Amino acid sequence: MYDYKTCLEKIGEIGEVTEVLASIVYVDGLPGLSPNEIVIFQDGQLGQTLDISEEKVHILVLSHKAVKPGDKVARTGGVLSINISDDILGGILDGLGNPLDGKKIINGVVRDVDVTPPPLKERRLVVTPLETGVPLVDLLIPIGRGQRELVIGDRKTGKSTFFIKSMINQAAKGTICIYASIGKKIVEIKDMLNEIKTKSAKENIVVVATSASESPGLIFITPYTAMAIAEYFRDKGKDVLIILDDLTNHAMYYREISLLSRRFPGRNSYPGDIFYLHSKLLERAGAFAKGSITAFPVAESIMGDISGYIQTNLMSITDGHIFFDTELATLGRRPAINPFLSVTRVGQQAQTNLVRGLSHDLSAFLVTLERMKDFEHFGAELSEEVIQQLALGDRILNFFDQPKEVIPINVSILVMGMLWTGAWRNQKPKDIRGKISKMVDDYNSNELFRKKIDNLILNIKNYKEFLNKLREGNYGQENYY
Amino acid sequence: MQNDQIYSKSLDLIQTRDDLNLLNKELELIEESSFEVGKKDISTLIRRESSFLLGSTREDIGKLRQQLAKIEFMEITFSYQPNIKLINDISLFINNNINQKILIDIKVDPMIIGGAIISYGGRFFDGSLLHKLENALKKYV
Repeated sequence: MYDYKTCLEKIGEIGEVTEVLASIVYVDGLPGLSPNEIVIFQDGQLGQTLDISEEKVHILVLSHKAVKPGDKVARTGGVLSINISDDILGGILDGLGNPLDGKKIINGVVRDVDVTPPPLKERRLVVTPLETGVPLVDLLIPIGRGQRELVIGDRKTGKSTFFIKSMINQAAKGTICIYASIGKKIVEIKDMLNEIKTKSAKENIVVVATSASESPGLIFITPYTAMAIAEYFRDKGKDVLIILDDLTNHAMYYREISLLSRRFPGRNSYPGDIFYLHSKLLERAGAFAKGSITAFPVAESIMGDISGYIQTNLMSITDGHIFFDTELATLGRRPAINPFLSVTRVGQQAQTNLVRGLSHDLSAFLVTLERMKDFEHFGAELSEEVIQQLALGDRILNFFDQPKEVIPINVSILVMGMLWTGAWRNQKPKDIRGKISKMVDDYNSNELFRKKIDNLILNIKNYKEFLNKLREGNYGQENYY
Repeated sequence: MQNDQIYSKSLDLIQTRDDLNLLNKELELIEESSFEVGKKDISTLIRRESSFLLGSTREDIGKLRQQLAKIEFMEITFSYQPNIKLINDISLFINNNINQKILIDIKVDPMIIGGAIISYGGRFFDGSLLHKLENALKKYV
């Protein structure tokens, strides 16, 4: 986008690299440089202004090529911006928004990467549900369009699988899904791409990826680039789902940059503005008059500790969190989401009365189930009623265990209703799983069955009425008993 | 000789970055070969004009080196190696017009064909013939 010679001629200011400290370089000259301005090195590399002092300026290098003392630098007069068009859909981009898969952006729009979040008057209430395709989340920790829901958990607890399911489910419904990989391992990025590649709705998914081997500057700007892309599609009236994987990593890279530029370290050596940085980024998401941006920022915890500095920062910025529990993961639960430690602050207002009722009853039941399981551990003699409740609990948890498939919310509601009304009482978990999978397949392929279920759920006022209807009538569910 | 006179005499001697580098080398040599005579005065093992000229005390040399480190440069790129007269003229012009000691950092790049490219204090001016020709070509092509 920028050319060194043209910039030099246009602005008429030049600087010289005097010191190189990994991703930070000190430059002498450039008297008119403004904060956050992009500079261009003589070999075409870009850098972003970090700090300006009377003697020198600190530049964050945005690429991985070596910069050496004596290299010349020119101002560009602009802040970091990317070229976007609909051509990027289904593609993979680097941290600067350049396609990595050889795609070309034709008739693109130039958008600034770091912008001020929209003001209050442009925002709307979160009232539309966002279906993730994961029953445990859709029923117990509901998400609304425009919500910012933190996803927190240890490594290898199934967070990526959850994102893939959510993206595939949403992309199939026309939502633009943006996955930002912030300094992840190349293997992890490749796994994610391979998963997405095989799915039919991949043309609505955009991946913005920087690997751990890239320059800290490039990794640092990755979430901003992804958010700028989300804003582009939001302004076109689209609903966008953005996954920022992960912001603890992002904070660590920012800490490295800040310490190198000799900024004063704060708690855990993070710079004082880390909260501001993340809140400004996540404030750009939300529900708007035209389109919405739902954000799933990710925070990695260590040994299940969710009380870390960055983790608690992000919890206070977001509208709730989904906690992936290591203990549940080791028990083989997939997804290993702990519903008791997960929170959704605005998701309920996007739910229908039916789902709200179901969610309420289900939450109460799961709490009771936990208590009953404790009694079971004591080896106490259990009444027939308690045994039945425990068996129902097992069937519900078996339903929530969902290794691969995406389950539409209406099927989740139907299955929960069927379980509640006593379906599959004396059947093996494997058989129940098979029947639910068949139901999902039929719902996706059989229009008549889908319409029947959708109409039933649409016209029901509350959960009690739904259960009565299921007990009384045949809505196609009888084929799966 | 008074200190101020020493400084001004030394500074007057230098016009370009090459001159400064030579002067710094001289000062290093004097410092390395010096030994103390009495409390402050030093004498050197070498007998050079510069050793008599550049201060009689260790502090004077240190101060002079500090002064030299603060000097700013004006980078001028020519298409050929300029002669002494041109360097003197440019140096005189700069010192008459800017109330500050500025040294010339001469670069040679035959690609610019003629004229000069000047950068000073972060400001850049391309007065090369190559630049003029490129601009002229842009108008016609």
